[in-house]
Amino acid sequence: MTQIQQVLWELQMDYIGHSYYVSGNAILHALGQHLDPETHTEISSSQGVFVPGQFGKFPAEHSQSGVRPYLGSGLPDVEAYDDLFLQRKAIHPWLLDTRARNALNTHDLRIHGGHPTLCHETIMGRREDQRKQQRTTKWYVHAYLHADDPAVLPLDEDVMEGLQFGGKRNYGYGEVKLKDTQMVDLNELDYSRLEGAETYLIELMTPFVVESEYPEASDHSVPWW
Amino acid sequence: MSGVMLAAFRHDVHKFTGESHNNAREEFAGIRVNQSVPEGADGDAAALSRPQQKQEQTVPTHDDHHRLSLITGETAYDPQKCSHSTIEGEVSELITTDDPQIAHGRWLDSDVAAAFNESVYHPYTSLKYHTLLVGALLDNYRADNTFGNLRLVVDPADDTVSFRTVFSGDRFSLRIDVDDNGCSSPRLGSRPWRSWASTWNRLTAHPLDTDSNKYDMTLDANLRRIQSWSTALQYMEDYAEWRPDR
Repeated sequence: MTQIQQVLWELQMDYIGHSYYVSGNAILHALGQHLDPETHTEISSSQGVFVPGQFGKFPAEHSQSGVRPYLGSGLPDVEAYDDLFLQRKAIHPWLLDTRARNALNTHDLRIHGGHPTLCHETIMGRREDQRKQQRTTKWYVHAYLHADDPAVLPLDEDVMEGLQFGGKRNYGYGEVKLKDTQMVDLNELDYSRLEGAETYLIELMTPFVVESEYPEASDHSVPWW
Repeated sequence: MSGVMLAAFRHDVHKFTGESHNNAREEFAGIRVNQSVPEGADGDAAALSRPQQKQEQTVPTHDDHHRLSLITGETAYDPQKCSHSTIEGEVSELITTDDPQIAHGRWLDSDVAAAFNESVYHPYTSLKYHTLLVGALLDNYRADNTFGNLRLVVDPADDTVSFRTVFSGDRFSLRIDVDDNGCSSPRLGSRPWRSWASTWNRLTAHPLDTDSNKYDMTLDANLRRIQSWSTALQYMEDYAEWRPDR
């Protein structure tokens, strides 16, 4: 039995940090404040992908179909292999063409202390005369947790509350609240589309470190700091 | 020859004047405008930047030709500064030259064209970059370069290739062409679709400093989230103006 835990956090405050994703290390670091050291060392985290809390349409390869009002702000059931990757691509192919998807999928930016910060929500219709039609879209962070010892997962929900990602945490930046979480049993998934394919395209996602201030970093084959 | 390229730079004047495609005037400032562009270049450029099947209002609060900025969420249009006659004057300066190469250069530098969108249904698109894409596609098609052979090529700043340069910034230029001087530039694909992020992701020589510059990283992260070509090219221009570190 191989189980992983899917987690979706909602950004409560703007975020200062890696602008492509929240690194798995940052997620682990945040969880470490709430876990005993034995449990903490068992856990691995994927990168946290930024997801706009928007309406969407399940892509053709997903086990479900149709339009859902809040596809980006919840965790749909995971029944097939493709379902694992629904919210994992930066371009978010499930966003609707009938909405301003390019604007909804790009981070609004503010500046704090000379740094660009990602806004925790996107507000449309900001002019004075549009107040009644204002639409707010919140941003979410989507990640997978894995533990070598199967007894460690799922992590309790209270452990995943009150976390902060990124920098300037003393100012409240990067605060998130838990929106949704569920366990996925990888052995129970439907792999028929994968098994029916003749060729595969494998995408390797890895934090690629080109330089570091950490001492003697070049001797480490896997950057863990 | 020059007439066809000039027609490309004059084909959407009705969007400045607020006329519908069907009711568009035939002349503006004494020259022929709003003619259709040959070789399907207009339709192909449109397919790079916005959905083609459905025509539906994507921003309920906005239904005119003033472009919404991804940076501010608002239009650059200021009724105090941009009177009807000022815009007419700037537009006629943009399109009245008889030299298509000069017209191309004026579009690359144009502010007024950047204030308008290419479709009222998709207000974050940019009329400026739509028109530059139409020109680049048309010039390639006329040289028998089929769409499937076209690439996104990064050039040094100020290195402008007539009609084929679609973006000219302080740090680099972008060009749509078959010839990339051996730089293994990414192809646009077999057919026109909203492939901006997909193409930008496959650039081998990256023009931004994404190793260490926070503002470049943030720009790059957002560029990888955009499908529409004209929206992305306009975002690069707006971002360069917005960023406080340069």
